[in-house]
Amino acid sequence: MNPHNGWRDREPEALSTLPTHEPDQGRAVQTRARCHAALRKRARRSRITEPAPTGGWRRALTPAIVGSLCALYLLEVIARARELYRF
Amino acid sequence: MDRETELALVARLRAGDPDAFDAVHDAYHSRLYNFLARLSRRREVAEDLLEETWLRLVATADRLRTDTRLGPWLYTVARNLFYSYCRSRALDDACASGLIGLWPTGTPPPSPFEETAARELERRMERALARLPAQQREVLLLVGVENLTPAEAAVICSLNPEAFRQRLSRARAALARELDSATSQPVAVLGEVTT
Repeated sequence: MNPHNGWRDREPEALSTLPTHEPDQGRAVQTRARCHAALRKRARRSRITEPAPTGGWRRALTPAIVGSLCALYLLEVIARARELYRF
Repeated sequence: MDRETELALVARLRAGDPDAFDAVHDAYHSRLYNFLARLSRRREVAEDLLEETWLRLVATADRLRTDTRLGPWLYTVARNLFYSYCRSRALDDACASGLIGLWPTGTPPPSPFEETAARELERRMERALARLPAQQREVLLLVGVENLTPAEAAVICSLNPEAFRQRLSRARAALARELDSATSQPVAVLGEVTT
C-alpha cells in the first residue's frame, strides 16, 4: 500500500476536479510547427556532419601512406642537412 | 501513458521523430498549460512558458536519457522556466498579489440561477490556490491536480521526500485556511477578466 494514500485521500476533492482550461489552439499549432522545423533542422545537420561512408581498407591505409611520406620527407631533410654542414 | 509506450517515445524523440513529438505534445500540452496557468496565474505567461518548454524538449531531445520519464521531465522544465521568469521579472508573490482574480474562467460570469454549488466551490478553490505562495501552490498542483506521485513531484521541486511531505502538509493547511476565509467573505466579488 502506498504510504501517501492517507493524505492523498484527505486532499480536498475539489482540487482534483478543478476545470481544465484549454490553451490557445492557434498558438499550439504554431508551437508544434516550430518544433517540427527544429527537429527537421537538427536531423539535416546531423546528416551533414556524419562522416562519409568509406571502406575499411581506405581508413587503415590513409594514415600509413601519410606517415610514410612524412618519414621520407624527414629523412631527406636530415640527409640534406648532413651534406650541407658535413657532420 | 504506460511505461513501454513512454520508453518507445523517448527513443523516437532521441532520433528526432516528429510523430513522437506530436504524441507527447498531445498527451501533455493541455496538462502543462493548466499547471503553468495556475502557477503563474496569468494566461499569456503560461502560453509563453509552455512554448518555451516544448522548444526545450526539441532542443535537448537527442540528449535525453533512454529511461527519461517524460511527464516529470516536462513539469520540471516548465517549473524551472516559471521561476526563471519570476527572477527575470522580479515578480515575487508580494508584487503579484494584485493579479489574484485575473485567472480567467474562459466563460462569462454565470447568472445567479446558473451558479451551482459545484461551480462555486471550483471558483473558491481557484481563488484560494491563487492566494497561496508559488512554492505551496506548485506542490498542490503537482499532486492534487496533475496526479503525480509524491516521489515524482519531489524530484520536480528539487526536494527530498521528507521536505516535500512537509511542504505539502503546510500547503494543504494554508489552502484550508484560505478556503475558510473565502467562505466567510462575500463571494463573487472580484471582477474576473475573461479575455
